[in-house]
Amino acid sequence: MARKALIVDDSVCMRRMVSDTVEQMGFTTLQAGNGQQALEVLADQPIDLVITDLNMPEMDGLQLIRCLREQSTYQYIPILMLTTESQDAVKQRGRAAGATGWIVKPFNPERLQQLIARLVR
Amino acid sequence: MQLDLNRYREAFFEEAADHLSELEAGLLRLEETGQDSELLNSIFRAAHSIKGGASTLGLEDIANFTHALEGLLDQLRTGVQPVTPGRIDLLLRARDILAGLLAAARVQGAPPPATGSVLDQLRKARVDEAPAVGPSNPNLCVYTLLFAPNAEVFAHGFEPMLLLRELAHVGEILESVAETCHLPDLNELVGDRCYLAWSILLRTDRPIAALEDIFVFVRDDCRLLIQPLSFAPPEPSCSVSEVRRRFGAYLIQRGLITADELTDVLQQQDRYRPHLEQLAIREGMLTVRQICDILDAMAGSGAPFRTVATRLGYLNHKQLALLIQLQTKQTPPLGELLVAAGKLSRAQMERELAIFHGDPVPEISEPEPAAQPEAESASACQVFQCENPELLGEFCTEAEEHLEAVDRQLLILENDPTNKEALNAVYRAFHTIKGVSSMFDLTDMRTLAHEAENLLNQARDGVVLLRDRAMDAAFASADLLKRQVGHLRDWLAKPGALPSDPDLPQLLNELRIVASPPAPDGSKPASPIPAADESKPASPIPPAADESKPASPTPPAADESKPTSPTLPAEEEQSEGKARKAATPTTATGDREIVRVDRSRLDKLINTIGELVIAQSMVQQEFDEQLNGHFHSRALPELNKIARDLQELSLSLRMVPLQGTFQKAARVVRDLSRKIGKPIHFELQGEDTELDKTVVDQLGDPLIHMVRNAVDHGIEPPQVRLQAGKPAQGRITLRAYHQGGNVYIELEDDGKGLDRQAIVNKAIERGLISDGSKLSDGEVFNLIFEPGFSTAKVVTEVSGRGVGMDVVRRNVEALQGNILIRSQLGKGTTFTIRLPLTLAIMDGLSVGLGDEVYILPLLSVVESFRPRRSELHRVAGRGEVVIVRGEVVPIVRLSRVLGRPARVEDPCAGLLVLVENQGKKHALLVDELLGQLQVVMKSLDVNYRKVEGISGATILGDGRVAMVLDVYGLTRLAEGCRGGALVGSLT
Repeated sequence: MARKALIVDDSVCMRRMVSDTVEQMGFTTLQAGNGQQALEVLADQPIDLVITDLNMPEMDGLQLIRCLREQSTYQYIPILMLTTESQDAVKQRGRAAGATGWIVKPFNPERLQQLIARLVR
Repeated sequence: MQLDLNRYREAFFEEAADHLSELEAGLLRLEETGQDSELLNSIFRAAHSIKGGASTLGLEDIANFTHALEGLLDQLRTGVQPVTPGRIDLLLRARDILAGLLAAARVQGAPPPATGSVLDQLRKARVDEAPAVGPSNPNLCVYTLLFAPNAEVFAHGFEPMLLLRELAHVGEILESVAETCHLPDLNELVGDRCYLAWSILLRTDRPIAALEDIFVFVRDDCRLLIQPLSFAPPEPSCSVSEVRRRFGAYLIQRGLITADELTDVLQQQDRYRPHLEQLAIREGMLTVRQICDILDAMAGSGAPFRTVATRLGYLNHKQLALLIQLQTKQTPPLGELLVAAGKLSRAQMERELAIFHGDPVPEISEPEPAAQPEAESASACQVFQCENPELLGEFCTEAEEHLEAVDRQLLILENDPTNKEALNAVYRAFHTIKGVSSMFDLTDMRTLAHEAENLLNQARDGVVLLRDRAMDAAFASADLLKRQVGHLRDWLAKPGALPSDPDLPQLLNELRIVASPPAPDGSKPASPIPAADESKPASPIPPAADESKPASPTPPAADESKPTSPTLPAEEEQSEGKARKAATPTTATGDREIVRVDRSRLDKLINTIGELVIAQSMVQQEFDEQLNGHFHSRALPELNKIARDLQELSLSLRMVPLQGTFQKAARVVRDLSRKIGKPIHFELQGEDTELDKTVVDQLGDPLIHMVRNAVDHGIEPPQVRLQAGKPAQGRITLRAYHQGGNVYIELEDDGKGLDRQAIVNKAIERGLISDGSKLSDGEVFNLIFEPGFSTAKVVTEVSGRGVGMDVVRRNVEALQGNILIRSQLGKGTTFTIRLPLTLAIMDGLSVGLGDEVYILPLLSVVESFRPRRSELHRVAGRGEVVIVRGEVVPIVRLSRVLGRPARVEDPCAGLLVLVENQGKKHALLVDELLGQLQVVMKSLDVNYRKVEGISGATILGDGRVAMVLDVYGLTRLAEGCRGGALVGSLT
């Protein structure tokens, strides 16, 4: 059964690039443009990986991560932040919200695949 | 000999074509079934065979290319790499290139342009295989890893096992011990806490940085120590080991071994000696965390293990003594190692050992631990390549939308500079453009977007007020970005160099100036509005510190990569397989034995047999005429039967299964459905159905076109399907079967079906039908075959231009077949093509005109009748017509069109044969109906020349020649000569 990933970013282009990279690994992907949409798209279904941008309208990435961690379905799944900043502060806030890791934009697709391989069965 | 080589070449190309077909079929099947070792093996063998042949014939380029292809296949079949859709994509592309290379080699043409790039990709796709274990690899090093995750590590989404698994991939795990001492009783176990820790010995050629990278995210949630493993020297206080070494010195003195040999063996012994830390974990005396502490302290103080362990209170002396004892016991003795290395015989060793136990020996210096290999520099940064102009186009559209939004919001801000929502919106727009443009390595755009974003950020934070100069700068940024997007669009239309904007540096500078809050000394030209806080430093650090130096990208974290200029290659042309020249059919099952036959010989054979059949029927006729039923031959019926059998057999020689065409269609569906993002299940039935080779060749293009249509327009996008209650995955079935002496090919989809109303509207618009005319569903659907007809709202590059379906129908009818459409709105569409089994033999209707006999293809004939006077009319501009069941059908006088005399002028005394072609009906006026017969068609083009209206000729049983009429040509002639002009005479 194919693994499923949720890609959240307000740029359609970015979502496609991430999902192309992820689909190459055999994932099927769900997409959303912001945190609110992401929750709607998920609709409580099980998922194997979440990759989310931080800066989005409606509900931003950190809020989304916090929200996901509060639900038992998503308490333990790997969540990657897609961020343009690599400063520690951002990483710390992410960790505090419950993120598993991060990858910086622009991202190297092979690097992303490598990271994912370590986080998802 | 030159001749021999050429013959082998041809055979090789034939065989290679078969292997290529196998390759493709296998890869497509592999995509469905996933990992299948038998399939992989057969695919590998196919590639391997091609390589062998090519290399034998000196086709070096082909051999090289195939070698790379084979290499990747090998890694897949041995499990070094998994089978992924990306790999299958690459392999299919490589197969296509290989087909192109072979075709080019055959005709001494040019190889496909994408060859080099695909070859590169094949090579890069190979993973480095696990490093050879052994002293030959100098970079191999053994590391000790201690990994103790915190209890709450799961709550961050980590799965420690995955990290350990990755370790196993980057090297060889020599030993792995799990610390279980923290595991509580089962009834106290809390499921989401991590209780385990690990101590691992890993042999790898990767540098420490790569190992540490594996744990990059989890570092803060665990205790982690990665160190190169030094060989465990013997504990100095251990008396047993001293004895051993003195024994070694003794042996040197005895001249039995050299000092070098002793050093080697002692080093070996160190390698095999277990470390105290490992033993401590195994014995449960220490936890991983404690060991981490000890090792840290050892690194800091340089003190040995036992000192630190006891000093930190983790071990008492008794435990330590036990550990050391264990260590000694588990270390192979010197003597054994010498014997194993062949330096001493066992007998000798035992003897010497016995003698030794009485002699004191001087100390020898300890060998130094092996020098640690230098850590390799971190793996080279990877290059991001944009392969996808389509994606770039999307980005342009998206960017343009963002920039439009920026304009709107900036106008709002002109009147209300502190409007939070507008500021946020503009900020986000620049931010997004920055992010995505960086993925395409558009450094100019990214830099500009970054500075603009920064300005907006300052405005958001209230550090700067977005007015006057700042506002101008914001507008200017949006404008420049728009220009840059325009350049991109130009580039997409005509690739070349991307021009840079001369205004950019100045704008960047301006942005930087306006983004910094005014300093108290007024170094920035004063803006009338005071900035927020004058006590702030003159140049604030923007949040993304590392990105404010666009000229020299610094990689702060291991995750950031260094992009270089992209190569944006033109889209590869997907070469549609050309019709194969092989004379023999390829088998689906591979069970049949194949014999290769020269094509022209085969044609000649079939021809001669055809003539034999004709001659035989002539004999029968003469016989009947002469003997008038008075004598019944026994031999003639026998001859008849044999002739008919021969005829059938010879025709079957030219029969080819549809498999090749179907496979092409499968490939098209797959590529197209992936390209436009519609998941489709494509099913083939009846691939073994056979047709005359020329029919199959001619059917290829029309079928592919129809399949393309089905994917592009028939099947709805997945979201639409879901909303309609259909499964997201579309279903297309292509099936072929024999029935009633014909072959049927059906293309069925479960898509949105044909919209009758839309077709009617379009037809009315184009003046094809009049508003209010009543047409059956079938007639409406047939309208899509009109040239230039397309109800597609969007003409994609794939289809929708409306040039396809009319050609499809014409091709089908040229093959003396017809095509039928059934469709239900919202449910799907089915196209059914009916074809005669062979072209050579045709069912015909013979009609008489004057003294001559003409044959009409039975498939085109609807009916024949003698009209009543009341049904005949003359219509201005259309000539004579007859009303058939309410339908107005033009009459074509065959005698006039062909320029031959007829016996009957009055339609009511003659016969009207209603024929249908391309949806249009005509009534042909002939003298009489002679009968139905099977006709062996002889080509006119080959023997005489192409004549419009005639598709061939045949020899009747009485030896006369009858022309076989082509209805399409006839009707065109008829329309051309309505005034009565005559066609050139036929003799």
